Amino acid sequence: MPGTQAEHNNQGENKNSTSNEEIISDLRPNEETLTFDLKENVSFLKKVFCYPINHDFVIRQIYIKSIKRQAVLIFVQGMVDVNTIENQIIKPLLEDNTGVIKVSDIASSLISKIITGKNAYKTDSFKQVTKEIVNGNSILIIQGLKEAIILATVGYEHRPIQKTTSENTLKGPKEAFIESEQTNRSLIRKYVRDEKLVTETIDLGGKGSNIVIIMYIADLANDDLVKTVKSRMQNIQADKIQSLAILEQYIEDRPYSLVPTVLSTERPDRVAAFLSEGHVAVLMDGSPEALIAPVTFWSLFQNPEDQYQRWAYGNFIRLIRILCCFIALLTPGLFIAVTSYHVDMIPTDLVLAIAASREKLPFPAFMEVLIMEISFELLREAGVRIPTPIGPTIGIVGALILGQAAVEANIVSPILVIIVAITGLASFAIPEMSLSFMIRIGRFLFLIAGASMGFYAIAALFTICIAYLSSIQSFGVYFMSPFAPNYNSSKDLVVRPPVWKQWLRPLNIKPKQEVRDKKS
Amino acid sequence: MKSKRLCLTLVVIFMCSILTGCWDKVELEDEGYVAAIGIDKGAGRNVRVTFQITNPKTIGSGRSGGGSGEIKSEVMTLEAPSVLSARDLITISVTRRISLAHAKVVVVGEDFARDESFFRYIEASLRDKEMRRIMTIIVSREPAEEFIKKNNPLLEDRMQKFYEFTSRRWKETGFVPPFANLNRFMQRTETHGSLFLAIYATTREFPTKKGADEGAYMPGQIEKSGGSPAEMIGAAVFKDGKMIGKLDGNEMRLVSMLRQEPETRAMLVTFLDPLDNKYRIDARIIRENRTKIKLNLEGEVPVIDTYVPLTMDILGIPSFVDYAEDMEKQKYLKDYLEKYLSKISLKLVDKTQKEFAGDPFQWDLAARRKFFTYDEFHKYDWMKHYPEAKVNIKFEINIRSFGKQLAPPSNPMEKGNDEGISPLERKE
Amino acid sequence: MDIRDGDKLGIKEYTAVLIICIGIKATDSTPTLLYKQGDNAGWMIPIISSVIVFLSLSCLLAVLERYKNKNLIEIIYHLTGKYIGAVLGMLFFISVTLVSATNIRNYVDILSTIYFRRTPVFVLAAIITASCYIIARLGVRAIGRTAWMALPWIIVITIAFVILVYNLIKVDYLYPIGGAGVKQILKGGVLYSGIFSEVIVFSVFFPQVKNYKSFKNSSYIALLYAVISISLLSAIYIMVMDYPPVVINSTPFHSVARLIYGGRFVSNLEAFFLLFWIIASVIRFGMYLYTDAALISYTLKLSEKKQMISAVSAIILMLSLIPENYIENINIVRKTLINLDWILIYIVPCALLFLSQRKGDYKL
Repeated sequence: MPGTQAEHNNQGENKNSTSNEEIISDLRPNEETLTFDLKENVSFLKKVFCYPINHDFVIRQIYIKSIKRQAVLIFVQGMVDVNTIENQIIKPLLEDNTGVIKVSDIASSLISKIITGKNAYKTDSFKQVTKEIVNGNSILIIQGLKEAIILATVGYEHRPIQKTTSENTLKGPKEAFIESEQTNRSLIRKYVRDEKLVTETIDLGGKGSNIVIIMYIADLANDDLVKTVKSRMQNIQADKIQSLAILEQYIEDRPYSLVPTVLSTERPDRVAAFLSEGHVAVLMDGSPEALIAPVTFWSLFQNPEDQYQRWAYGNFIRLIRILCCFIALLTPGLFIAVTSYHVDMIPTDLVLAIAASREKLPFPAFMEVLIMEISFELLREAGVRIPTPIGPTIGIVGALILGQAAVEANIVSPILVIIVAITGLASFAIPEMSLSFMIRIGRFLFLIAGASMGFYAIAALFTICIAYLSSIQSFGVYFMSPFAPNYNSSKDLVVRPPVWKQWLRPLNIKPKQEVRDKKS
Repeated sequence: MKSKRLCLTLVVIFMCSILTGCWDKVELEDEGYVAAIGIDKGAGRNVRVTFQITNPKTIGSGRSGGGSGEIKSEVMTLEAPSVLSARDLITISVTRRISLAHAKVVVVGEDFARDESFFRYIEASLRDKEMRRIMTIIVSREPAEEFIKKNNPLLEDRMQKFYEFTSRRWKETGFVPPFANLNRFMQRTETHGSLFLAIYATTREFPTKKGADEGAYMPGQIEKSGGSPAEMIGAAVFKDGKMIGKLDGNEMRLVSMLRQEPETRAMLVTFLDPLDNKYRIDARIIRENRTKIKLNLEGEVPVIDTYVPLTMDILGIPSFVDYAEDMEKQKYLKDYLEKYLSKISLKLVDKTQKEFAGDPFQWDLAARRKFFTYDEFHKYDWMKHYPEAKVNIKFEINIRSFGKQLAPPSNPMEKGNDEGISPLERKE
Repeated sequence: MDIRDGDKLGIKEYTAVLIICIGIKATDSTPTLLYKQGDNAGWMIPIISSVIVFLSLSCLLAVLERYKNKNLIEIIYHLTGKYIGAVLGMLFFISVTLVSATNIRNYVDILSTIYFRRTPVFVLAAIITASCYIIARLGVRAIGRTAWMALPWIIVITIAFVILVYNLIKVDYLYPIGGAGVKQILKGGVLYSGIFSEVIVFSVFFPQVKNYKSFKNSSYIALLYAVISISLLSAIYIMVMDYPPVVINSTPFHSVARLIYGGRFVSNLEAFFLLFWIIASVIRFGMYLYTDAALISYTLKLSEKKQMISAVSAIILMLSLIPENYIENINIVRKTLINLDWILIYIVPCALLFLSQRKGDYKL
């Protein structure tokens, strides 16, 4: 629409006399292209960025001696690295290099001969220009040129690489992702030095810049899988996706299910391990984590530490962990079932001990468990939200004092405190957050089943759960595979073989190469 | 889509309403846990049923534990038409629902055990879910009611434990029959094969038998003071579900030796010293191998050849006769023991043939192998043929050790023998 | 390389389903029926039955090999024509429906007599049917995978059971070895081969199994395993309880489980076995429901199998509530059914082989 553009330009010129309301326009560049007129271009951009209200929008006038033309450097303050702009752009431009530049193709020769920045290219689309400015690059517009030069000057503040916070290990690398996608990529590449490691960027479209990065090893990851991941992203209708955590909810298979179908991790080494099995990783700027797809139960269950520790030690922690899963999921339900339906099963001494401790209690066993479970979940939630200095105290206050007091006040029996504490402890020992949530919520289902029909209902529910888990797919891969349905794999499920025997990639995700490379 | 959701909701509500029924749900503290069930004969067709309900508060949880001040259990007796109906009837005075889930023993008064109807009552009660076939049967010489009431062990806070421990005593001593549980009782009675032996016990004092062998007692006859009045030794013999006789502790040990399966693996015994009749030898009999039974059913009367291999540790020789290093004496001892054991065994077999007309040794199991089909075996009727059987018993004793010392010390009573003469050279 | 090729039943999954569906029969009232037939040699009957079933299975496999990608019902239609095919299909459907109903009732009765005395039979039946329905809705592949995941546990528990009852065993109880006599045992072997009917009936899923070889191997392995487990457990019940008492017992597995006494601390474990028994039975009946729905929809040539599952579940639930009590159920209905089933199981495969031979469908 050339007409509207002209109108905008007119308005832009009269900006001094207009009020704030008029400056703020809903103009977003669409198909417009740059013109030869520097002023016109600049005023268009001013309009787009709501200048002068928007203080971060910087317009730096430069006179380029070498071509003897007026130019403008535009960037958004805070997104760019000021040093880069000074040393690599402004300084070379201001120097007198007459004769180097060919008049016929000013932009190209500027890029190739004068500007020392690491990355630069030219475009004539305002849309592109706007996006690059938003992403932290600088724009050089030169009088009489229909193109703008885009200069890579991204440099916003982020925290330095830090230790892992939620996926701690004792052995192995300890660095975690940060909010900068570039840094994250470099972290991953540090672990996967493979020429076939591909980084694809996908623009989700919509307003603003929604760029997602997909990483995979090109000769490993199944083409279908990569295609599915991409198409899921492209099908997202949302206008703006702020972070990976939101993206995760858009692309997962079963949004209502308790079972996660995408894994999010903060460990670059873990991502690397997944990549080298043929999974796909997704990164996004501003998110200190990476998404992995597809996932199986085993990838949620396993922890990098299992592989880092020696065979026996690693398997020991695996066995402890699977025990934890069962304890966290089943203990309260089994306890209720046993005490209300299968009294025979408990050793006589224990029956009498429990009966004695329950003599004075006002609530049925089920209520008792429910009260304790809920208060434990409360404690847990409070512990996360509470400011760090008081954090550890809440555990002591909650666990010790509350439990002790509840027993002393004859509200719960001491054995129940043990049950709930064990259950809680077990759920803490599950490193993966999604799995932990799944089990914590599932526990209540088993609790109800146990209270309503004893082992009968628990067993029936358990079977249903297994059947459900085995029918779930994550990006076309069955959740319980490669165990069920059974595929060839390195048998790295609950227990793992020694690392040198794990030469087979899990075939359930259909990697292009089934066998890990060996020295030839 | 909407109807589907509605359907789903209905199904969920339906399922919930089903599940919240909780028909079989119990709260632990609502139950009274019975440790022992006593059965006696009542008036008319009724039985007197005794329940011993443990008091859970005796050892409460940690702090709240009452401890020694509390009574251990509540014992109640009532007459009812059957054991099961007594369970409901007793609630008229007990606040708790009676749970037999942790009952360990059934105590039967001897009078009732000798009654025809005993088996019928027991069989009928077994149909109940909570009656466990693993429960031990104890036959008390007095009515079961009295036995349960008087039995008050100080060591155990919970009666369940007392019964559990005592009924397993056969493993170490062999004074009481092994596996004297309802399952074996039912099985022996229904197969009509061999006699069933139940634990024989009493809390009454009977005229004591002084100076008898280590196990030749019936319960109540042992000279004993202090402790709980309950005594369990020997066996009550059941034939076709009815008690017909009893065996004392020694006989019980012989029975267990003559059975094929080595159930009691070790027991301490004493024998008269063959070379010095004033003293008795202490020994431990160890059964490592199966007793071998050879049957010949071809002839008019069945011929049973029993071969009992035993291993023995001689533990004490108060007579100081040197059996350890004198090979001849050792052989003499062996021969003597073998003959002695087979003599008393034959006496026992004779007793079973004449008095019980049935075999408590489970030799019918060996007889089974002689037949091809069950019908043939059933027709042969082992119980009928056993009393006429000709039984040969051969023991073979293998003396494994003489305790920790080799030779006994030289006898201090014999003067002048201490010096210069080694025990080997010493003449008798 | 399509990422979704896991959509067929592999050899492991199919074997697991078969093993669970057949092997679990050792834990219901089947052994009691066997003892009635063969006295204390009842444990031999499955061995003889399996030989007969093996022959019949071989016939069926020969037929299946000729018609790849066709299931049992389609082959029946193909070989016997429209009308006989429909009748046979319906017969299979009715037989599976009745077998499921009586078996569900049998299991519910076991639960009701041993564990849930006061709970109405309807509730127990409704819970198991509902759970099976949910599993069946997830499809045969989900059932297969569930079975495969549950199988290791079930085997471990079976072994634990054998180890725990080892103390109670007296081998002598197996004698007289001949039991009711050779004739009775052989007769029993023929009459009770319905125990293994699953290997034949489940061939409606032949196209869903990865390939012919897996189907064949699965059937053979499962048959072998099932024979071992049924015979072994039946023998163990006799060795624990002795012959006449074991007949009086309607649920030998659970009665023996109640006898297990591993010392003062490990006693009364029957509820623990219940847990795994329920898991196995839910898988079994889930498979039955699915099979039944598949049979009827193939016979009537319906496209929607899943819709049929709900109808079939409702029918089976109602049928299972008809028998008045436990004894009526096992003595009359179950026995008759097992005894009648074998006709379907022997005659159909042999007839199919014969027909396909005559039609000359060798090279199909």
